[in-house]
Amino acid sequence: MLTFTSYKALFIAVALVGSLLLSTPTLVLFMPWSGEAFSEIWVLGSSHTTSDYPFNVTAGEQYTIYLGVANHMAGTSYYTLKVKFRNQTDSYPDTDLGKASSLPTLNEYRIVIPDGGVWEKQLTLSFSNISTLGNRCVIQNLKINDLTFNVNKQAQWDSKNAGYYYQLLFELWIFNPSTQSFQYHNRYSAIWLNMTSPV
Amino acid sequence: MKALFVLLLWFLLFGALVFSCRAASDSEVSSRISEAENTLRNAFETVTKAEQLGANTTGLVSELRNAGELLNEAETAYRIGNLDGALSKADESITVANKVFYAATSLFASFSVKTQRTFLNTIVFSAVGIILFLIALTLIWLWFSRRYNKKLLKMKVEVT
Repeated sequence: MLTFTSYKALFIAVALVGSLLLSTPTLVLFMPWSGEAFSEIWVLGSSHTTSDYPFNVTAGEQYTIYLGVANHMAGTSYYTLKVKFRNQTDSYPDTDLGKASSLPTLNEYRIVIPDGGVWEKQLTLSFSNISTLGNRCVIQNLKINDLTFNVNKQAQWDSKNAGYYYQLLFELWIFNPSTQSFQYHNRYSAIWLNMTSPV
Repeated sequence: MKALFVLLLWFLLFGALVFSCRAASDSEVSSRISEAENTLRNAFETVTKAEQLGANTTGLVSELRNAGELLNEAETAYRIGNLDGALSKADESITVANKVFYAATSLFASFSVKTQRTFLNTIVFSAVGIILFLIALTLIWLWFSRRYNKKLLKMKVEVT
């Protein structure tokens, strides 16, 4: 047989457990969502795979890529995708510091995606007005879909990898309602391009 | 007098025609695109507020997406120098985003009341539940301790 003190302890334990169970619905209201929130960004080649990215590019040709974003932020998100064009020495996004590339933005895509939703866009790229000066290559125009950008970007001959290397960079920015501005989301995707036959 | 009236009317009609056919100016398009951006942001914020309250915003998000696409098209048209096209797309974006904003505002208002009521009901349920549970437990404890004590008093002392 239990002692009087043991019964007392049992009643107190039942009282505590019962109170906790009854207060659960209220506690749930105050508990923040604890899942992992993240976004995805990707670039795929013309056949929707990672194996056929355009790499060796030339003036006058058209190249197709697919740009995609997926939202897993536990709510609808408003993104801006910034398109930048760089050579091997230009500024690159810093993942450790969460800083975007300081290069100017060529074009922006505003996207509203519900939680779990995906956005994808086909981009057609072409280059024109390419020239070489000694061991330097200069791309004057980059065309993405209907828009021609005067990029005037030069690249040094990379003797190690034998080419003039450029990179098309896509940065993901997200709208922050508390600051009323877009902030770099520390996500980017990029493809390397080797200008093979300057015209 | 009649001729003067006809002349005045002709001038007014001509003026209206010229006004309606004029090409959009660069600054006008630029400011309209900014307006479309702001409208889209406001609509987005209102939709997310309604969403956080548990409202079904699937349709509104889809409309917001359209507004964003229209804004992208307006900017593309602006960059290639198609000012009239840009103005038209920016206006379309504003119209869609405004529609979403008003729908989301009313959804937010109705869900705000509903959520407050649910919130209050939950707190009241928990509080009343805990109080009743503790009262019941105390009564059981009083009955039990009395019974326990009685049982103790009825016990006979055995001397060995």
